[in-house]
Amino acid sequence: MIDSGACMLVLKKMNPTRSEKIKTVAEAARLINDGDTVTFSGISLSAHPVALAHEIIRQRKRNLEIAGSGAWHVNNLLAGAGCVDRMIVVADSTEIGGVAPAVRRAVEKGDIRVEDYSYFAVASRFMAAAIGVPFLPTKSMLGSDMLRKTWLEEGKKFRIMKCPFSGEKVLLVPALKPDVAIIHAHYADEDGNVQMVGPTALADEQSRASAKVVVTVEKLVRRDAISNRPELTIIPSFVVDAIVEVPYGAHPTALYAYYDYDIDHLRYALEQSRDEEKFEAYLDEFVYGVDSHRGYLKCVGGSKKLSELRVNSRRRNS
Amino acid sequence: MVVAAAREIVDRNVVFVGVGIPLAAAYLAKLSHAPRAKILFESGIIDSIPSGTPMGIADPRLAYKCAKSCGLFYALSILQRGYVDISLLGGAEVDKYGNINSTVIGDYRRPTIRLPGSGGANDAASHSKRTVILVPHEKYRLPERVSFITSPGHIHGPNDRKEAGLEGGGPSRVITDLAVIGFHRRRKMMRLQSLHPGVSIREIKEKTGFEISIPDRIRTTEPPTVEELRVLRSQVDRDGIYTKR
Repeated sequence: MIDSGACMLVLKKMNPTRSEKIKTVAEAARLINDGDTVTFSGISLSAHPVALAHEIIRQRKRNLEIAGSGAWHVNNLLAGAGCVDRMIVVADSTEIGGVAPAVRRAVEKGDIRVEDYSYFAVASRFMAAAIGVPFLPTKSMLGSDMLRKTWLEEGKKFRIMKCPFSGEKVLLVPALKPDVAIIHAHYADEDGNVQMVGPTALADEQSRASAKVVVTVEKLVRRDAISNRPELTIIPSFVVDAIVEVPYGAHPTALYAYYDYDIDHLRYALEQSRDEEKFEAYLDEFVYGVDSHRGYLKCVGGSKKLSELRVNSRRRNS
Repeated sequence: MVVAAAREIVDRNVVFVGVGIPLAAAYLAKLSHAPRAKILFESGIIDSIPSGTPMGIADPRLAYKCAKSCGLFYALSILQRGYVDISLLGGAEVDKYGNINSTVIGDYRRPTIRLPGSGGANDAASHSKRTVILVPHEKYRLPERVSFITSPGHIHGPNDRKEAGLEGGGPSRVITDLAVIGFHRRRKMMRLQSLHPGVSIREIKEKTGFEISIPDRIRTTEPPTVEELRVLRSQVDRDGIYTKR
């Protein structure tokens, strides 16, 4: 029998004062040090942690390694801003205009050293770290040049093994443990329980794999909202170090059930990034020239634009 | 190209696709001859229902009304477990064994052109029961050997996939804007199957960077039917993003 009285008493005692996990964007970004290995949540046109990425650029972080991030717009911004010198590449396709231009330029010039993995191989690396084992076996990448041509992870990228039980050939990939995971999600409570709806890409594994976890959310909610639907909790509170409330924190990418991608701004940023000088001008206008995400949102069209992007229950994205 | 690719999908197939023409082909199949096909995306979308014109593999339109939303590890493990019947893949370069390059052109550490990387393409090519490759028919896209094998086809010969430890069957078809190409049953190199209407063998030879095997008798690709075109233009690709008018 559930004693709801005792339950309520415990919940009341848990957070007597405002949680020290709640931070501003600037405070959260200061958890990242120069030279750190960072990973970003998001994929394709969804859920890139753009607000936090902008702050990383404003704080002029240097020599970062981006590991296993499919958030091409964030990768592109950071590469173009000179924050990155290493990348564990998984997917830098913009889908709307070829490969992320600033990333491409930096790699071709030799400014960024790389190592390529398949998405499932990187996911397995994060999963190994997330569940506390030093490697996981997979059958991806076998027979591909990702095993023959290596750079950043040379010598420690993989091992081929004969399974001790079945004798079949498997590839072992080592655990990948970033210094910081930066994630954008729908909402969280003050304790740091993070909920998401829709496809979640690698947010779960990235968070448990990383030493520090910074999460930006659309809205801070109370514990009851979390407890009503615990199956939506992708990251439990003890995994999270910092929570920041940043509405539209993923703009210009989409957030499932909340807002659509801003295709015009995505295309604009993409096109500007094809040219070094034009991208510097873009960064001056949309990143360095504003001191908050709210300031940036004003620059991209303000509440009028945001209401066009917002998903409402009557009008689905179409 | 979209129509020919759509025809490769059999009803009830579990289908893995990337964005672009492969997606348009999968949706066309689902809206016409393969309504029970289950389309899945690496972003974490299982059994997607066509809705609007999606622009990326994590477009919210793909997830709306899907059967299951999940994470990427789950979605791609469906491939490794062997559930996927067919994957539709594009690529910058495809060689005669159906190996696809989406990593670099030139040297890996100092490339002439840095490409997007594998994404889920390597996983799809490794594990699907079969793969269908979509590529524009140009000489520079169809070299003798790709600069970098991102997604393995038949690698360099008939036993290579098995020796490498791959369980998926590899590419069975390459579809271009000029032809439908199969693979030689024993030697596993590309073998012309049918020419699209109006295309000559000479044009194929001119625009292929390797010597493509040509059978004695070549069919003409069945052109799109009125119905296929109607579905394509009115439902799958209303804005004409993936298909020319």
